[in-house]
Amino acid sequence: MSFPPACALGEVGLKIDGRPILEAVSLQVGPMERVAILGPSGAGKTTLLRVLGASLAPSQGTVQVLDKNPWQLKSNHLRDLRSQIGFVPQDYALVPNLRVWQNVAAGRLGRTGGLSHLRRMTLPRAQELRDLHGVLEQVGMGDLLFATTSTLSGGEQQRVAIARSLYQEPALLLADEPVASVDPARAEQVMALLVRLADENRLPLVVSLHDVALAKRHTDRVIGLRGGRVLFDLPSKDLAAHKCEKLYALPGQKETPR
Amino acid sequence: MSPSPLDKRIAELRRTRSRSLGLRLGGTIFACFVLYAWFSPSLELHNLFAEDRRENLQRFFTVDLVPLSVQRDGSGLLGWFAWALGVLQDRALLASAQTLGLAIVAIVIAAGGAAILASFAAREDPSSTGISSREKDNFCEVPTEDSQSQRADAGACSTDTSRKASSPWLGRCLRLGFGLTRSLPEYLLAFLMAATLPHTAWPAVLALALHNGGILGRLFTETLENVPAGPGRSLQASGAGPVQTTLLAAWPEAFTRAVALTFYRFETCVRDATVLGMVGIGSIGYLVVEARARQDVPEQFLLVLCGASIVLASDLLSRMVRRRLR
Amino acid sequence: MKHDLPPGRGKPMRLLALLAFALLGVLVAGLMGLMPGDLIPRESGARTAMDFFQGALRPALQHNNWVPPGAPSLFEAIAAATQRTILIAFAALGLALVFALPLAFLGAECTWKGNTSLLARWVPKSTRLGIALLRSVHEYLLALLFLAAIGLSPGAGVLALALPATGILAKIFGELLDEAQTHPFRAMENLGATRATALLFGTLPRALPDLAAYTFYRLECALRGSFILGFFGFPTLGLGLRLAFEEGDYPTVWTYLYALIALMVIFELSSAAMRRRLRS
Repeated sequence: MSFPPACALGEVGLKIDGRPILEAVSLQVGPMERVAILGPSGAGKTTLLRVLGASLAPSQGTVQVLDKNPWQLKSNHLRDLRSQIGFVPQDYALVPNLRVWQNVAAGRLGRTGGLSHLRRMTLPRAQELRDLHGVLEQVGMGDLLFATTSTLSGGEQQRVAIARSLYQEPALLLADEPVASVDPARAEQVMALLVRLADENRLPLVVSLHDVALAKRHTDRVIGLRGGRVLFDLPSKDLAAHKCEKLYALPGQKETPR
Repeated sequence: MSPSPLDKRIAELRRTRSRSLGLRLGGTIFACFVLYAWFSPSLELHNLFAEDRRENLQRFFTVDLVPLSVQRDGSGLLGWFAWALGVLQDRALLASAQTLGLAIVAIVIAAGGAAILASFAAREDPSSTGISSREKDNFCEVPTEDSQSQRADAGACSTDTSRKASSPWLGRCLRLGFGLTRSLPEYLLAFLMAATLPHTAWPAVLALALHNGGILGRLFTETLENVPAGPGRSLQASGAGPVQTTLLAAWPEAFTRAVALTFYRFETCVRDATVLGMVGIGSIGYLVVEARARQDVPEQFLLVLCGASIVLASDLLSRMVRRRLR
Repeated sequence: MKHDLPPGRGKPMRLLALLAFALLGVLVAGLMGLMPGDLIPRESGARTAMDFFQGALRPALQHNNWVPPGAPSLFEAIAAATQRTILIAFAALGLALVFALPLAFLGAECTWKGNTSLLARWVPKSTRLGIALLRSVHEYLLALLFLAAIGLSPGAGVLALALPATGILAKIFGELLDEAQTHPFRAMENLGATRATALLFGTLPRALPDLAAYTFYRLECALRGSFILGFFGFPTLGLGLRLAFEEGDYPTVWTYLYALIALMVIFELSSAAMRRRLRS
């Protein structure tokens, strides 16, 4: 790869309350790459994404996100870095009693602004409303600009959360379990949307997933995570069935030969 | 420059958005009233900071607040302490103790009465609608944290009984009564009772007990209704009547929370007791009124300090007990 | 069926505690010289009570006593007093709100969580102490003190009501902010917002309906307080009631009482309606 990677982890380990969550994780995500992180529940997928999103500091190892080591930055530079990372959390983390446009506009709260944020969140200018509408159009929700967020369905709220990340104008898009709570048909749609948005905005995309088939269909590369360790890191087309079985085996089944 | 189609579309979306008119109206009225109160001449609030008021204030701090004895011999802070000690020993300490006593008697009566009445007010629920009655509003929901009980009395003022259509008329009346007793100012109750009863601390005690009994009654009722229905059902299955069910199944479950609620109210009770003495005898409030009649500002101030310190102390006690109970 | 018995049974400590609690009440009552016999009104008291309750049936419709010519009629006087009662309550609560919200943020856990600086150690603690101090002096005691300090003006009453209200509002607001969902707050921090910004747009909007609901409840309390201020000479409804009561003019007392009750009912109903709306 000729371009510098969007993010790079070197031997990252992370302990929470003395319990290891991630161990010796090394990986690189190239520009414009679509990466899926696969793994069973509790494998550390969310934690890994949060390390990639510069919101969680590892206990050991090196982190480079968008060419910077977030944990050596001063707090205002760290905020600057974070404002370039779009993160779609699993629970969407929207404020339910705000309007949709306000939740989307919150995407730019990371920029320096001070009091102007207050104006932007209460009395948006026409241009800002056009931008917000445009971002919402990208996720197919332009007409819900002024809806109250809590009245939306789960899927719609997720799109709002995605729109919020896009409104950040990020250089990297992360999505934590974007299809955890939708039916298979919608899952397909959401993944297609994320990939399309990443393509349109020329962003690298990292998604954590459960579903192997979905990952193979929509991403270039899959990383298998189990017990906080990287089990495999392959181009999607090379992912063989037995590897997945090993990835998802229950503890008791682990050694059972087939 | 005419607006683009996009702008028109956005404007239309904004125009057709859902709005809660009631909330807007309420908020606007609230704001208007506050602004009117502050900036209209009707309350003359602007002259709160006027020259003569400031002079008053200055005189208050430099002259009025200094006890006569200190003024005479110019003994400064040390003299103030000597004077304060004298007042404390002579009457303020006793009055503080009386205030506490007033609150204690009132809370015992209130908690006892509330517990008995709540058992009847909540009788139906543990067995029949135990689970569905959990659908409560924010303030009435039985809080898992005791900090929420502070807010619990906010719900206690609504006399809305419609959500329990299945309840018997007795329960409904009791709940309405709980709402009524808490919505009249307790000071007014004490004032009215003082005119009819002999000259004792009873009016203050009764007013406090009635007011807090209403609040505790409501809170106890809700606690009882939110107790898991399982034990009650099995008791009823083995032939227990409704009263037995409440006594043997619901109360043991609700006990700890009821104690926590009582202690939470106790703190408020002490706070109110500091002023209720104004209508009866004993307690800080009585001495304050008396000192006011003598125009003895330093003593008023000292008594207010006494009141504040017993309120703080009981706040601390109540907080400790509730933390222990958790 | 035995295993189904509630866990609270067989705890004799509880019975003992209850007994001690009741005994404490009796003991303290005895110490304070509170005898059950004093609960029965004496003859004069009983007559007063009779007169008083008879007044309920025929509240005064005009002044029963001599008033200077040209003085406002009873209803005009009551309307003016009602207006002042309401305005003092609103003025006090408005003032309290302005100070309570910043205080609530300063004292709340969520503002300082994860911050290990010296400031984060001492600011919330001292703020909470300040809040407790504000709350510890009863508003009526403050009113008397302010009467001496500032003189008899509605402003003194407003201040007296506002100070404790600030304390209680700040305390409850802080708790409500701490209980509000933290997801939006965290998400906003993760996209680079400062802590203050994330609190303002992530935590505060979420808690706002609860804050507003509690404010409406406090408004009722302020109204009761404002009414009682009249007993100390402030020109609210309580003043007229007290004067009439001292003259034994019970019909007029009842007119004032009915005005109070109507006021309270209107306020409680509208505040309950607002709170219901805020919850939905």
